[in-house]
Amino acid sequence: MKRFTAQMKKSTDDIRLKASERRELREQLVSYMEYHPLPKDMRTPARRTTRADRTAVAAAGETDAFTHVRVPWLALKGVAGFAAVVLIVGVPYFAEQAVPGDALYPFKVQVNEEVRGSLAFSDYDEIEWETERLGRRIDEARLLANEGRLTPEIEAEVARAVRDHSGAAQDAIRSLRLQDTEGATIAEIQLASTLDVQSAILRSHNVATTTTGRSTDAIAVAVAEAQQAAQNNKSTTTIPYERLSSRVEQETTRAEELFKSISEYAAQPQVDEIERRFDDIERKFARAVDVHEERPELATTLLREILADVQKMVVFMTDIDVQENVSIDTLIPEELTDDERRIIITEQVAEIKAVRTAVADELTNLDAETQEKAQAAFIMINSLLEQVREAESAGDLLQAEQRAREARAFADDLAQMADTDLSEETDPASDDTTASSTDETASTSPQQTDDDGSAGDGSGATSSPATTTPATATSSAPATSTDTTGTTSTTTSS
Amino acid sequence: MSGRQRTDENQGGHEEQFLAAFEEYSDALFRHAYLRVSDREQAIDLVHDTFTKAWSFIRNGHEIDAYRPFLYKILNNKIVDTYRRRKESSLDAMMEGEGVDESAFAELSEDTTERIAATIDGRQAVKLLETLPDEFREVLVLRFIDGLGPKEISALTEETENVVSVRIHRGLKRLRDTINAESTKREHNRTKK
Repeated sequence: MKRFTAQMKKSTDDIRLKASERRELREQLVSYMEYHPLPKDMRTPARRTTRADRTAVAAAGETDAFTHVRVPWLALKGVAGFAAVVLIVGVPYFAEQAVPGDALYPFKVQVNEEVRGSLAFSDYDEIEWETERLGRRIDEARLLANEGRLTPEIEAEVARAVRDHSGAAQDAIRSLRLQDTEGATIAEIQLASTLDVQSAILRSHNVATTTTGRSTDAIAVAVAEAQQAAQNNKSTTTIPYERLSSRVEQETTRAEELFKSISEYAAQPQVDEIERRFDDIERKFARAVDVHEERPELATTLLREILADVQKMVVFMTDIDVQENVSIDTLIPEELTDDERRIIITEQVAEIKAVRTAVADELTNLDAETQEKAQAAFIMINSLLEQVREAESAGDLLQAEQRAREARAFADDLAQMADTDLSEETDPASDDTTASSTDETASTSPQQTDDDGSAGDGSGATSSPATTTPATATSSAPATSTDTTGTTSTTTSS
Repeated sequence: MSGRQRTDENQGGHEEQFLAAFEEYSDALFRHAYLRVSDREQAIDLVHDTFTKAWSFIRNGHEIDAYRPFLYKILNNKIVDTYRRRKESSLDAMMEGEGVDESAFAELSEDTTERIAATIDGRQAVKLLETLPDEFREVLVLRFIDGLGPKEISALTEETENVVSVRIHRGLKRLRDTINAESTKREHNRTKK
């Protein structure tokens, strides 16, 4: 058997990691170790970092308040369950009642989290890495697809890998749920967010899907299945505010550190975009902190959104490919600041008023029926503008924006209607109207700004009336009305 | 080799020792994984997951006396999990199921295994590993590539030593049969001309 053994060994001698693979693997491990540092009493002093500016827990075991509390980890080890914490002298008891800002608050979240964490460590870590693994497989497939080298066989393998990894993640979540329902729910959010990002990427990529070597359909299907399974398995546990907010702090810090490291070589516009998202998140978080007492559900919803967004950002930042293929705006739409909102609202209102004025001026030139409709529209618009004004002064900008949008829709309808009516009267003149489809309510159509806000001068002239089709729900401005007697107006959407 | 690590003097030790274990064992673990799953990427993933899991254990106070068996155990479990998961979703499960339980076999002497191994070309055996179901691959790679003894394999796979020996023997037998079948085919093709 010696010869046999020797032969086998010899022919497998060259099966080893390439230098580059080894290096990469080592780097990943080191960064894993940094994300999951040793508990305080095991750690070497040099590795500790402080976070003086954070009131709640940042990364595990790194708050100032915590450094003053001796946590007897050795005693905790081997003692199962939450009860272990209570056994220790008094502090946990008082900590339990702590709220953010108290000295003991970090202890509460830290110890309790850590204890729960240590009970479920394998599940939690596993979820994270199955999720990451899933992402990597898809990334590789995309790279190949870009070069036209993604054969159906490889595609099938990747699809299978997606199923395997998401299945494993789901298993781990289910298992985690038995010990830590809240942790499991948080993990669900992160898994779902990652799948969302991947799905968005695949959607953006699937251009020429019938070309061999480029189609990623099978993988997209697998991802969709995984999303569905995640949805089906979703638990409805409500997570207490403190737990969620501390988790958000942790994840945000990680994301910020990641950002720092990539901002050196990433393109400036992307850096700006990401910074913008971080600002948005800060604002959202501040809002959540503000409202969490009177409106706990809203706070929870906001925090959950933040968690999902941060996860997407992390995926976005760690994956250059993602950055090249998908704009961050697709993944995480911009959240407008209050100032931005105000500006938008003001612009909208100005336009609406302009339309109103223009139509009012032409009122006498409209036929009776249209006049009636116009009057009704005026009433609606005026009422809505009033509501906008009220909402704005009350500080409810969301409401104001909403009403403004509705008013805008009416104004557009009005303009369209008046337009049609007037061009009917001016008979054979074929109006060339260019309607620009806007994808944000903020942008204004070129015609309107050109004409200084006034709607098309309908008195017989063939100037282009302003028919805009903003992407609002109630907008019913279709392209032309070809049923106008005698005239055909052509609308070209740019 | 590595003694107790949780003493105070060794405070700086955990990370260094962990990374040292990586340097020392990553190749061997990779080789093992690759021979089991026949896929380079997957093998790398498995090695990665093995080490991250090991780190989790360390973080939670687990004391590691010897890295090698510890890492192998984690790796092996992960590989078995991979196959188990695949089995649940594929028709291959039907083909792979042997149905013959090794524990039903009588005690096997080391001689028998020796004898059959002597008749097999190691190089060809490696190439044909892929054709074997994982339970055979497991014991063959551990025994002949990783150089683990029957006791160690038994501890790792949580099977009795006898089951392990029988499985090794059956695995070798299969390899030999496959090799013979291939050479017969080649002979046949050659003589056909």
